[in-house]
Amino acid sequence: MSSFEIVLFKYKDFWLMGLKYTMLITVLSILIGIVLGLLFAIMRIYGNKFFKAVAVSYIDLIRGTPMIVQLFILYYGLGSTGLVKFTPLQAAIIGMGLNSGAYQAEYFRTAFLAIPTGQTEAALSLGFTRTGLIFNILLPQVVRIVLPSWTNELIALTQYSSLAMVLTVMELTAVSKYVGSKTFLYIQAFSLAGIIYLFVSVVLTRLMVYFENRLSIPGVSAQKLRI
Amino acid sequence: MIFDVSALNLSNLIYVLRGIFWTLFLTFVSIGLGLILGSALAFGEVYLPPPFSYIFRIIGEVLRGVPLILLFLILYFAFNLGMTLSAILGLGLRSASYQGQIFRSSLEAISAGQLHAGLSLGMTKFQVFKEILVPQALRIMIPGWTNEFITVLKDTSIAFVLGVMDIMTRADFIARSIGRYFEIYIFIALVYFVLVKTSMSILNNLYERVRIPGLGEKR
Repeated sequence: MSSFEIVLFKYKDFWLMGLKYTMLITVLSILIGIVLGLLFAIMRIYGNKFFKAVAVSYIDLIRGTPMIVQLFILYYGLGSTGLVKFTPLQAAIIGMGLNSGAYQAEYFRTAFLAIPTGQTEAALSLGFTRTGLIFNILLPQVVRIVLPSWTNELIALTQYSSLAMVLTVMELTAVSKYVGSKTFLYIQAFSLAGIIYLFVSVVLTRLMVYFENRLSIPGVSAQKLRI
Repeated sequence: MIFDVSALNLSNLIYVLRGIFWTLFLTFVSIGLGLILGSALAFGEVYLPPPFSYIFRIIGEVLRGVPLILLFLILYFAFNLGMTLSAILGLGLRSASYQGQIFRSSLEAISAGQLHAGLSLGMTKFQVFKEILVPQALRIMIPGWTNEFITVLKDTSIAFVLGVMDIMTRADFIARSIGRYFEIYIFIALVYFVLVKTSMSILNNLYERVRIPGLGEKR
């Protein structure tokens, strides 16, 4: 057996576990991020002074501090006060979700602002309510504009999910370090992890491009030919 | 008590704040390294003939597709570089792949007509580059480059896994030794926030100062 095969087959279950946790953290945190991002974007654009201030300061604070500090505040910080005690996995998912929310709020905001104001005026003059305007007219377009940014965010989160390692979650990077220290085949173990990460990001990118093409409205956004 | 202010006494704060040196050192050195390697990467990708340009592109894709922690671990465990060197190289290489993209897109933002005009006026290709294209590209770069600077500044905290004595590592050390986590981590979050906001306003000022009126967006 070559050294690469030892690393791969002898620890197959560990690699699968690592991939499972990486994907779990990424997917759940981007979903939390979408909900929060939409909420904060709407608060920032349509809210009154108070909501606007809340949204702006949340986005600023989250984007101005490193994710690892946020995770530590959530896990060690809140855990030590005894208010809420998260498991490492919960802390990673919630922390990354809160973080992603701030970034996605900016994506959503630019997407909302990219839609011509004429549509808002037309909808309001036709008797739409504010909620009806946002959810029936603007949001379907916003989602399509925001899709490419989601691809980037998804890739970024896949990579940042490796930070869960410092909270002792056994995701992909933690697995590769564990396998490396067990076998002393560090180069092989880390290369394998790297290959898996590259593979995951290629698959996710292709998937998102497929969705972009499926959802695109002819004439509204340029269709991507890459499949 | 949930938030015990006495945990933030002067000696603890000074101990943590001394880490600012390492945080800024890592940021500046790896941004500089990234600028040099990144422009090499961008030139290689754009101006070399196909088989070589693919190599540069693949290097960039791999560096962008792999998590920073993994890059650190590879440099530290597999190549046995010291922790400082691993941190600098890891951050620098990753930043190079992003700065290469920023540099490439700003070179492409300048119309090809300027290159032709320069050549037809009798300038050499290198002169056109040095006198006409690069001065504009560097200015167009600054906004994207500001974002990259802030990303690197925040990502220096990940060097914590290697044990570089930056703000993050020192804070973790103090928090464990006195057993107060919440206060210390909130404090360093504020320190990072101040660092990020300060560098952002400095770089935005720089952009406004060197901006050519009419070229690029106003901030």
